[in-house]
Amino acid sequence: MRISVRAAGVGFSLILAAVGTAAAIVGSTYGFTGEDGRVGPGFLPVVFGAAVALLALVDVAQRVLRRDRGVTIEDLATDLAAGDEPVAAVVAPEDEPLRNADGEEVDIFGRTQRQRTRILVSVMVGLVAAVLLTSLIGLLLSFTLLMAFVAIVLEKRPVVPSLIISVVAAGAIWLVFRELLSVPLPTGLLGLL
Amino acid sequence: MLDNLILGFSQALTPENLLWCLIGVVAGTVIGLLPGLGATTGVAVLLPLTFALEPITALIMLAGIYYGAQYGGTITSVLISTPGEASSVVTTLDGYQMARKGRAGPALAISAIGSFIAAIISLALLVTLAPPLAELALGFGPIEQLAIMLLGLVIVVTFQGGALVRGAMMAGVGLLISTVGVASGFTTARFTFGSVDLLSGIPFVEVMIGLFALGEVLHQIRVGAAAPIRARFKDMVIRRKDITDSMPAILRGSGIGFVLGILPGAGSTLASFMSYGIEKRVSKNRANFGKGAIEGVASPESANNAAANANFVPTLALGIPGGATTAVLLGAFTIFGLQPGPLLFETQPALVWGLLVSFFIGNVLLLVLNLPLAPVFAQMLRIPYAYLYPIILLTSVVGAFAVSNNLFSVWLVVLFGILGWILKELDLPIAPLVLGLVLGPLLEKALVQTSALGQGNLGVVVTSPTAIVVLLGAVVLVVLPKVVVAIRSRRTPAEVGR
Repeated sequence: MRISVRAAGVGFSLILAAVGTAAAIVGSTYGFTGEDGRVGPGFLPVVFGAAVALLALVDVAQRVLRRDRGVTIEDLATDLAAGDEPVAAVVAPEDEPLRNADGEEVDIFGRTQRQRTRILVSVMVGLVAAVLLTSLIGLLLSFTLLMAFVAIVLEKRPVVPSLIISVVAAGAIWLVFRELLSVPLPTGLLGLL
Repeated sequence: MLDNLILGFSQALTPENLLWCLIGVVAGTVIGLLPGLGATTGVAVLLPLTFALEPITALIMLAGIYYGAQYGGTITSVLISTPGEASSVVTTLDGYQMARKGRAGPALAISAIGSFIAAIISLALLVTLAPPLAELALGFGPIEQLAIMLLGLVIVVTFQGGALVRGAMMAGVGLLISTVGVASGFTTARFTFGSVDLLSGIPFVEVMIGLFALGEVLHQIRVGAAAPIRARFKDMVIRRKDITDSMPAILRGSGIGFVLGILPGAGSTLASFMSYGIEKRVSKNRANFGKGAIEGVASPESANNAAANANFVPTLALGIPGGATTAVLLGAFTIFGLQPGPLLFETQPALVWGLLVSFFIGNVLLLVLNLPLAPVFAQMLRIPYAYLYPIILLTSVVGAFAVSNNLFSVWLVVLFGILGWILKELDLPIAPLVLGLVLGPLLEKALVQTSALGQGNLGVVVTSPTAIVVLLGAVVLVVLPKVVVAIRSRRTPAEVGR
């Protein structure tokens, strides 16, 4: 299933609108004004929350109606730089994108967009898992495992260089943060590193 | 002035500060040319490493990363047509064409020379302009500060190069995030939901590391690596004619870069586009633009470097960051217990002048390094990203942990990393969010003080002429582009009819 950027943008702005509204409502309980009519602790949460909600709804409307996005100073400058031809056309590489046997667009390692998205999701899950693992095996060890996992399993790089790079990088980080800066890196329940 | 410069040199020329300046500019060059790493990411990720250093040494190194990255970003623009920094996008137009014609050496050399000349010009202007501006700003009360901060927000929203509404929305998100916790002057805990970690607010450095380092890594994974195009790279020899041809472009670029860079919220990217555009109209060699004109490299490269330095004028003199990277540097100041702003020149002259003078030294180092060594730096492009990004991930989380010695920071980095990725995928601008986050607490303080001055009436703002002028400026910035376009579109059909 593919979600278009436009649909995702609408969804994200709707979430922002909800967050802004909630912030404004919660913010109003903090006191809009303080003593002698001064700005109170709830003033800016209400103002910013309402502003975010309003702007997000305008953005939703613009995305849905495919309205012109307006002109900014930056656009004028870009216009000026491009002269008669649009900048995007000039900056874009001239070479044809690489394709695999099925005609899908691939990167230089021959991976399709879908494969790259899978790597991306795996990295995100891996990040959360690594933070959760920290309480057991410690921060450094858990993220070194993540590094090796990413290089060997996800990116399919050769095992030995991947391991060497992970260990050397972790060692350097340990040396700098633990030894030089005396940062008490969490060692976890096992208390290994 | 002379006393101040002597004081600055005595600070910047200590062996320790020189060494860290060198480390900073070399790290900056490498960071600028590596894909997915920019000046902002570099400064945010390496900031925790500097905690053991003296504040001045740390700031010298971090600033070195910032302007060093401007040099590094050029190398990839010229050699593989992939800008390492947004401010080097325009350089690809003529730089890459020069490289294809076997003139990569002169392209890199002229950008190093142009960057250097621009740096020296803009630094001279910086040391001349910042102190009087700081002195002027000393007279500013909360009303004027409020107006200047609003102007800064308007500038970053109108200059970020996307839809106006989206920029404003992101600034609002940043401002809203900044209200979390107990604000100064109040006792109410806002949006903490019972969490002790949130009482002091959402920490800045963790957000930056998440948004920029992690967000960019996640974005790059999905984008995938582009096919690197090997450019012929023979020598760094540059002809005298190349330099004389480029000189007017370098000087114009420096001027444009400085003027744009000085505006809080505008930055080197805009400066590089603008100066390239102007050069394309006024240059004697304009017919060759886009086909490998050396002026087309010299001009934007001078402009982005001048703007990077000029960004320090509002940052140091007003305490309002000029761009995303200077916003992170501003965060660094506060971590070291320093409050950037007009008072800094009075309370910390040794630090301010030492830092400013270190920019001169850093740029000399960069010129010396980049003229002969650009090919060596270019070798870094061969490191596969698959090895690079896990290292960035590890450095980011450990660095974030080091800021507060708290696992909560690591969760924040992951959370904001995913947010940063979403923003990039949806093409929502991050710079306004950053500026909103930095300016939020300052804005609230000024607002509370202003309302106290007016006994609850915010209309007191109109009693300050300075504030009125500044706010009018903000209105003009929003309205002007629409007016210009309206006039243009009215004129165009008439011309066609003629």
